[in-house]
Amino acid sequence: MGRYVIKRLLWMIPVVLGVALLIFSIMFIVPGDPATIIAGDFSTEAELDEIRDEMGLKDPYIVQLGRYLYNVFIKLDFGNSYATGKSVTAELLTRLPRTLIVGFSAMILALGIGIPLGVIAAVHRNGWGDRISMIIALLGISLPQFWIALMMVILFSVKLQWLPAQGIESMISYLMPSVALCFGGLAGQARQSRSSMLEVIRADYVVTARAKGLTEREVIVKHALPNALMPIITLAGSQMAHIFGGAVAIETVFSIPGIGSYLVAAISKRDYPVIEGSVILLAIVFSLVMLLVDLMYGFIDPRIKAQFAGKRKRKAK
Amino acid sequence: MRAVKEKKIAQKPNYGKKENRAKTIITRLFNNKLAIAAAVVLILVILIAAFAPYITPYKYDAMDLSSKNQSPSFQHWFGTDDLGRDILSRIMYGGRYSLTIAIIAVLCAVFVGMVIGSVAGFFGGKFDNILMRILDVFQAIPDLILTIAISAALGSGFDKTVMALAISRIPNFARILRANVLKVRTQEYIEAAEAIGCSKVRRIVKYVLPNSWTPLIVAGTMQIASVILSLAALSFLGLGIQQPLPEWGSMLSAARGYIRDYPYQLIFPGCAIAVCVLCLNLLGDGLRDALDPRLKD
Repeated sequence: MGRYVIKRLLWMIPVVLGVALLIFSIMFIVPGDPATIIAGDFSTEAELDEIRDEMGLKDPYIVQLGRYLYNVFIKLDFGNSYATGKSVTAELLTRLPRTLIVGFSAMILALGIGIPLGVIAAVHRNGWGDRISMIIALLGISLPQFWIALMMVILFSVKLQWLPAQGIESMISYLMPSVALCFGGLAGQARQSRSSMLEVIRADYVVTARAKGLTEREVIVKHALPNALMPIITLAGSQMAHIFGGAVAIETVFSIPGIGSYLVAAISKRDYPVIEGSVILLAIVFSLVMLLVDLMYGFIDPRIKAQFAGKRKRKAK
Repeated sequence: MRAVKEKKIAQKPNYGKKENRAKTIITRLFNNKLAIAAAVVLILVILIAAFAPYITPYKYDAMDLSSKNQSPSFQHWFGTDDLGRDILSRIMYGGRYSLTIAIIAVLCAVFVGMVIGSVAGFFGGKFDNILMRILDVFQAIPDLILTIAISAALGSGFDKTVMALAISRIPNFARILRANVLKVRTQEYIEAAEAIGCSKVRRIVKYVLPNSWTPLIVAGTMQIASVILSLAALSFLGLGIQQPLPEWGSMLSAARGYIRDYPYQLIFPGCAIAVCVLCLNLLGDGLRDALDPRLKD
């Protein structure tokens, strides 16, 4: 298992390097002169030239790329914002926890509501529970999340005035963003857990569990569900991508100073270091989540753990 | 002469049954009432969008400052926006942008994904490995973030938005097709085609692709739905399609400032998006069940 973890961690390096290369290249081919963005439209040619020299903007692409990768991965420095001149790394680090809180609480909600919905649907197949769960799931993937967020603001902040519409004064402010963000994931989880439950529910070991007189609840929760978990966890990993993507719009709706809103604000100002930094950081976080999912397989399915243990033993012989 | 031989030897296993198979699929689809209802609604939406200039009560950019921010009424069924433009008319026009952009973007992504996927799957080995690692990099960036980054670089506008949305979807289709090509590649009729001296390109185009592309229909339908959602989010964030063009996401973006006073301006464009996406998802589900009933549960 340890070797596997190290292998997976090492594999992350080329992927993250690739992401950095890709994003830097996309931003490099954009027309528009960073020097003008920094100095403003009313600067003289001499001033612009000075900035270009200072930042090495006259160097060829490959030199600039090398310098960027060196700064990001060796010095852990994403550069300074064109708009404010402040360090992008520092800003990203203060904003990251907020995005993570919104993202992970949305994921927890999605799993916590989606899996039970799917299980209910599978147990009461073709009954009312099934229909209602699947309608909720269908609506969850069909409604734009930022629109759900806007509707929630209208209802809970404007009409009822129960919850704050903006900012992050207290933890309660995270409630609406997380709920709005969880719908897509919830829908996917409900569908996935329904279909994987239906697969295992007819398996021999479930029949055996029933035959030995366990209650239906025990059969479902202890014998069927654990065996249906693999595809559910796999899906949860890839859903984190949608959640981080959706977080960009949700953070904008609720004015949460996270990475998403940082990214959006940077786009209109053509603040390339901020755009590059935000995208690379989100890709790193997402890759780590996927790694975590891979590792969880080992805990959920003893067969996979045994595989790795088996390999090591065989080698020892 | 060679063509005749080739046809005889390298026949697909379901030759002769092909027409029947298409028939069963269509019958199965038509038996799914929900999917057919969804298809009817979609056709209606497309017709409305296509004939918008002839049937909308107002022009999408006809401003009337004397009647701005009105609530829904008989003159303006969905009310008017901050410039006195009729929201119903704008929504009807808006379908043009959302649907055409989503469909073109998905078609582009399917095409490029098909080329990458079939080439990677067919040739395998190092070549496949390199292509898949490149796709890994693309997939390490969440879909919408990649779209936003590309869109930020290219700028807003119809063609640029299509490109940004298409690029972020390519890996998806490439992977689906590759997996299927890997399965088909080892079939006997492909070997037969090789044995009679078919070129590689011919083998891919004539024998591998026709037998491996069906999953792309379902994936494509579902992706059109997801692209509509991404496009709405993109326009909402000020990229994609922008005012005064009546794209649904950009309408929501403009109406957001009036959330406290005129919330209905936000309700209807969102409903339009939801209806389209819902119907596409229902149709996608129906197509999947019709193409492969085993997947139903």
